[in-house]
Amino acid sequence: MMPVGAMGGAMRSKDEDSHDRSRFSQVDKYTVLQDARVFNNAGSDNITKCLQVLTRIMYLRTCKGEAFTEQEATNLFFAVTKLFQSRDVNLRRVVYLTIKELAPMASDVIMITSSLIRDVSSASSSVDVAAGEGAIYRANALRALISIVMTDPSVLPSVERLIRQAIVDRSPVVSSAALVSSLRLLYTGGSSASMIRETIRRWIQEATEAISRQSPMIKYHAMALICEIRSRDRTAVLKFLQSIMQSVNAGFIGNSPHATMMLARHIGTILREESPDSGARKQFYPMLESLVRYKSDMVVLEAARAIAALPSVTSRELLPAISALQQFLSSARPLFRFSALRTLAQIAASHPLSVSQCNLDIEALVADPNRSIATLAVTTLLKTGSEASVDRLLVQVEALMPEMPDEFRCVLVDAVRALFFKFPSKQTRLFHFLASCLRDDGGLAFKRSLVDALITCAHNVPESREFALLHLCEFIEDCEFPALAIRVLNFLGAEAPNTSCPGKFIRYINNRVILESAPVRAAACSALAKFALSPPPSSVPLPSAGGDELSREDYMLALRTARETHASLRKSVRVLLERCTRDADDEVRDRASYYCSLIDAVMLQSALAAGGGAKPGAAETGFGESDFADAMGTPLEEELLGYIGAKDTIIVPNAKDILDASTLSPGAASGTALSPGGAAAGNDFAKLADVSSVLLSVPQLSPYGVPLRSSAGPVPLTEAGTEFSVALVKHIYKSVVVLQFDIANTLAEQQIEDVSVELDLDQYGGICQAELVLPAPVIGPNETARSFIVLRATESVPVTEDTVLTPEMAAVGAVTMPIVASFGTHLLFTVRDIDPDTMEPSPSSYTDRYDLEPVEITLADNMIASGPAPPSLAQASFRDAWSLFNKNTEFSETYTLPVSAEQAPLQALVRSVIGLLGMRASDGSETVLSSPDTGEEAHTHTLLLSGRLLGRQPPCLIRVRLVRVSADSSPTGIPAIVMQITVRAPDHPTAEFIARLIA
Amino acid sequence: MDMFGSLLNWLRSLFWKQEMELTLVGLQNSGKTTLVNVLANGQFTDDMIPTVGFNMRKVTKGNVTMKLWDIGGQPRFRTMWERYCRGVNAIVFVVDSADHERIPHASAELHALLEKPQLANIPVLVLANKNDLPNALTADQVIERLGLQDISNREISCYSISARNQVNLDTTLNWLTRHAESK
Repeated sequence: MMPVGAMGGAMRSKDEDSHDRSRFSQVDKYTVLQDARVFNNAGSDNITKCLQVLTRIMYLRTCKGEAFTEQEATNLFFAVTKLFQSRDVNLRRVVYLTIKELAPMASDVIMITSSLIRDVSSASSSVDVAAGEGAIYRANALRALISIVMTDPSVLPSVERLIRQAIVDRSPVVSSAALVSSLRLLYTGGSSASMIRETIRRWIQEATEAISRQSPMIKYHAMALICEIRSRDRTAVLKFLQSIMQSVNAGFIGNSPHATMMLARHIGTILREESPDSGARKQFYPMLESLVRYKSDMVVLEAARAIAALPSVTSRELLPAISALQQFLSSARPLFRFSALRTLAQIAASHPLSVSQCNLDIEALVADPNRSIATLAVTTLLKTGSEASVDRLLVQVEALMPEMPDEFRCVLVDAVRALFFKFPSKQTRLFHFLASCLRDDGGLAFKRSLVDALITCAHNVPESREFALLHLCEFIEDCEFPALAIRVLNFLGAEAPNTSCPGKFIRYINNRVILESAPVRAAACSALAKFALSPPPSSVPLPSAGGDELSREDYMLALRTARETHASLRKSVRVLLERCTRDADDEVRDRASYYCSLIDAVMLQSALAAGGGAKPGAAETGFGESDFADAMGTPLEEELLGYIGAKDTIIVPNAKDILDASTLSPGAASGTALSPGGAAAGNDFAKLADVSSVLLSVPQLSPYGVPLRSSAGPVPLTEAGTEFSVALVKHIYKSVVVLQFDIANTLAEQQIEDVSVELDLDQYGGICQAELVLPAPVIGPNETARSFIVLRATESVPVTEDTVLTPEMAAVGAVTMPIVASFGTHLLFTVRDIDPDTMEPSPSSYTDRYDLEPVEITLADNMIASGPAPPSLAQASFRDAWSLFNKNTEFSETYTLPVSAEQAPLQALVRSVIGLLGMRASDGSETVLSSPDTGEEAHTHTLLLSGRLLGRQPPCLIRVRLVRVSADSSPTGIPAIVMQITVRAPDHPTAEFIARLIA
Repeated sequence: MDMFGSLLNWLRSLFWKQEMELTLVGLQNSGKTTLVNVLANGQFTDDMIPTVGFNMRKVTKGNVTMKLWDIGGQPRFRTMWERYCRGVNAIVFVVDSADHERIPHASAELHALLEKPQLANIPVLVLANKNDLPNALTADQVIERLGLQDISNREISCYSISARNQVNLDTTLNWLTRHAESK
């Protein structure tokens, strides 16, 4: 009988449940608003009815999220206030809840204040409560009252005393309610937030009194309130934690695990901002260490988390935390397993070796029924595991992958990417894993992390590049994310032309031109163009060492074939782009037309080179053409960047202008007209991509945009074979200069940390300041890392009345001159010895500095050698351009340079001036005429230079007149060269700036 | 005190099984909450804090139940008087009869309230409180200053009382209970 009866009971209650649910499904707002009229005469006979209506209001608000208008809420609220006439305890309890719910929506809720104050003071006077139960009503009334204060903080002064009394109320329920409500009040934002905070700050005495109460709950709540009140004052929190800590051993908060947990959490927060050798760290760490052995699980977990998050935590400090967490890994409760594992995973990111002691336990969790735990286990093992376990783990990952949420999959992809660099021998396996993941379904974040991983890997392991490219091609065939497709297309454009067989990628890219949306089509256009614009191969891969030695003839044949392929590829791409010029989208058409004219120009040039290249060897070296590509890279790149930069004034010069402005004159082919600066900027596309990928990998630099120019290759600042080798790359941006230092640590038994380069910026009276210094965190033995400095010019030239304003000057009201200086430089770092046996870095370290060669930023770095006229003008001779300039902007200066030898050649001086300025000499003025008979140099020379400052449109022109003065005619009696420099620039300050630099 | 106590008992027996709902309004500091306290438990308190919103007191002694809605008199609450006056048995308007300056304010508020159509026909009792103070106006003076004689469309009465000295409270109760409804 019993089981039957029990079953019957169970079934009935189930019926009731569904009945209740159906009763609520009928509830709608308008009926409830009507029904609320019953509140007006709440007698003992209709309390049940009132309760039902209130329950429905709560149901509508909290379960269905029904929105009430302010008018509706206000009417409802005032109807509810009428219920204060009933002394029924159950009704009053629901009334409190409803008030809390309606308070934020209704107006004039302050109306209920006095009644609530009365209830808080003494529940028994207005409700028929049983003896001893009054506290719970007073507590609830207090919570409702605080909701009123939150909507109308002007009430706070009148209830302040009440709340303070409630905090120290005899009843723990009331005290807790007061503490928690105060905390809630503290979080109230809005205009009165500071007034509220000021008021609550005065309650600290009551809160401190509460913390010494017996009840664990009160201790916890009081602790939370005090910490929140003091949260703006670090020293106060520190002092508070110290006082708590001193009394912990005396059992002050000992019986409250929650309060102890809170203590651990706040210590963690404090120490996160302290340096590892600060006094606070020394003082508080032992506390955390003892808390990981605390009897309450939650305290142990929190303390372990706090230790894990310590800045530059050492393995020894981590040890107690890891041992404690290890215990939890075999806990029966999934929550503990997850929590412990999550912290271990976090530690594994920085200290994989320390976590490896848990590897066995973690491996057991790979098969955990809880998927989140299993995933965490795998990712942790990927960080801590040995090379041998990689294959096995990957199999497990592949099994887990399809059902995992994207968030975890991204974590996994990151872990695999890290492994890629950790275990080079597993690269193929890992690469295949990533590539196969690309075929899985997944969201944007997942796909992006995969594409990023593949691109990074391909960058770093050249052998894998072609494989990666093919997989990415396949990926974009069916890619629903335009942003990713564009990223892949850019990568293809940058990398695929350099592969052994670029032709096979064209089809994939062209498919995008046909099938995709406009932004992707535009990217595909650019990618295609890069194939055509890439220089023809200058070498072909040599056969492997084992094969027969390739004869010179065979090699030449192979090279010729490769070049023919390249030429035909160029033609095919030209045809494809021609089609794009009829695209429906403006941007695609623009790009296609632009690239078509570029390709035409390049093809014309190669045809010329081929025609004139009858000389043996010319075709072999391909010198003329690749040099041409270099040369034309300069203005093209510059114009494009200028185009990107100049958002307001869009200047779209056509390709012909750029070619005109470029160095197409016969002299250019020999490279003489290219100043060192110009040559430095002569990057081809691949190189530009390389440079910018370095910069892109540094997120802190991204706000500065794209560099207008990067100097060619790293220039060493150290002598070969020293302890450290530092090389410099200068990146000139529109408004800043980024110095990139490639720092190599050549010592075997030391690692250097926090490595930065310091410049003596004061030397120049602060013409610029280091806006951002990005040190390299750690450079292990024989490792290389990068450090960056961002310099911003501080000197602004005020605009005077006679200054001729360029539009950009007018916009800012002043001109900032480019940084041109030479800075004394040294390397700053912290040295840590490495134990050669254990390879563990020693705990002790010391700081050191190392002098470097000075860093020089020359005008040439900021100058583009260009024709004398703006690109918008047709070719103009130097003299025409010179006369066009406004004379007001001219600046002229004369110097006398004493020379030691009579025969100091003018030619050398001319060459060094060109090099210093990085400008182009016009009208053949770079050569000092000499007498055809004697070979003796002329005594006077006029050098005509033109160039443009980076990021500015109009050119600057310089005329340098040189006159040799013999000792006899010199006033000082020593031979000299008199140099008169006249600069005509778009504005006077620039002219003066340049003229002064030459001196 | 004895006198009042016995009278109350007498009243209690008289109004057997009767219930009524009253709303007390009037400018701040006119003595509404004090009056309610005196009616509820016979205790006079001097240092009252202003009522923020309303107080609901139910005075149940024997079988007479009075629900007293005591609404705050500060300007911000005056717009809400009407809400609590709807459907009550009587509106009690308390005036501080010694505060000559604010009598015109009280008059304006009273007349504005009584103009509300929702409150038509509800009987009004004006209590000129604090008659223990020197310079307190008499009932007739209050009637005149408040312009009560102009109100003709409803029953309206005015008593001069003192909550402190419990003067005229029996008359007041008498008036009120006459307007109670039988249950």
